[in-house]
Amino acid sequence: MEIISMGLVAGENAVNYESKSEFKENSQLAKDRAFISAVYNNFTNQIDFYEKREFLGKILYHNAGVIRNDTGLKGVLAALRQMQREFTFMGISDKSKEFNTNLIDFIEFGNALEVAEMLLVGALHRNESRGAHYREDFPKPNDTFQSHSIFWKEDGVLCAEFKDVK
Amino acid sequence: MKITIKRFDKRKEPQSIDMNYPIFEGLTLLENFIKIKTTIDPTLSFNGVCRSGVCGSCSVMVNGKAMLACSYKPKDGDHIEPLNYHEVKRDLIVDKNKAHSTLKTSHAVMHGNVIVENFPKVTVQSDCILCDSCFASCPVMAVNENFIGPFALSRVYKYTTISSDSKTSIDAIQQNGVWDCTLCGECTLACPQGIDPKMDIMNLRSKSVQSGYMDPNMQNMSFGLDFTQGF
Repeated sequence: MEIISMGLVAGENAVNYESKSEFKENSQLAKDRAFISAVYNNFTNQIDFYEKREFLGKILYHNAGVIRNDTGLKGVLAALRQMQREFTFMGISDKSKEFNTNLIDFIEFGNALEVAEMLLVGALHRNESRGAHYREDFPKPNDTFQSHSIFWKEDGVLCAEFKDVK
Repeated sequence: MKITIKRFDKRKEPQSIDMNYPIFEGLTLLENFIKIKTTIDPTLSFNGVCRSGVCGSCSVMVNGKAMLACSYKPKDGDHIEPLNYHEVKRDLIVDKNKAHSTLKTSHAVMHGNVIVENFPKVTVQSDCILCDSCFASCPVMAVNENFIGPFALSRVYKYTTISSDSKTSIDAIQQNGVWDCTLCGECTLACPQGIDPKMDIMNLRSKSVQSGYMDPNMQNMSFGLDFTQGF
């Protein structure tokens, strides 16, 4: 459903988007290039990230899934931060430069680590139950949390705040 | 319990080798690929996104038959290859651009006005997921690589049925199109969505005749009678 509804919006916007004539170098592209070259040359691949990915999926499903509570969320967050620290000891076994799905899986795992952190921090701060977010320890909605959770990164550190709904 | 996968890497010598992998019982072929990639050999490359027969990206040849890896459970001794008539990029990943360009050459898009009443006639054809299984099973592709494959013709049938102007598409499918099909029905057997391209091609033939075209093969047929020697 999400693909169908959001895909339409994205498609319409893409048509109306005025294409910039030349492909510009930007800082994000340079960062990504540096990251990928580091994955090829510096990441040690001593830890199998596929194992970690499966483990992360399992603990997220059981602790940050349908029913959540404070201890569970904190436990997963601790495990996740540990994985983020271990990230440079993971890596790819397939060093080929074409159709390297091993590399894609690894980049996606890195993104998952970032997104999961936001999800967990957001769920931990929201001491209430609202919509799909159900907290065992706070089963009722609380109007003081009637606000958006906003996340951003400053120098690689995750920052979060609540912003009132207008 | 083993399956054989045909590996391909254009930068290696030899470029293509057959490799054996164990079968993980109870899992589909695509889940087996994922299991092999995550636990045995991370260099195995394949396509596969939705894992539930919706996206059409995981089609492979199993023992010479095209099918979706996500809806087949492998058996002992199965031989897995990339799709026929496609340029292999790596292992089981193929370039589908050439096959999908037949949609352009056959003008398989809406022309003129929509005839909404005819929509129910082509609901099955609308289910096409462009998995290229029919294209890879078509024996005509082996002798004529410019043949507009089954899925494009099926789509032409869909659009000629629901649009008021069918001339553009009908004109475009006379060469390397409807008359080149041998009506063998391999495409119908291969389709995971239950579409019947063979029947659509037969319907397109009658539409072509209605538009003033005729079977070019007819001229070469004598039906056992020789009309040249005269009455």
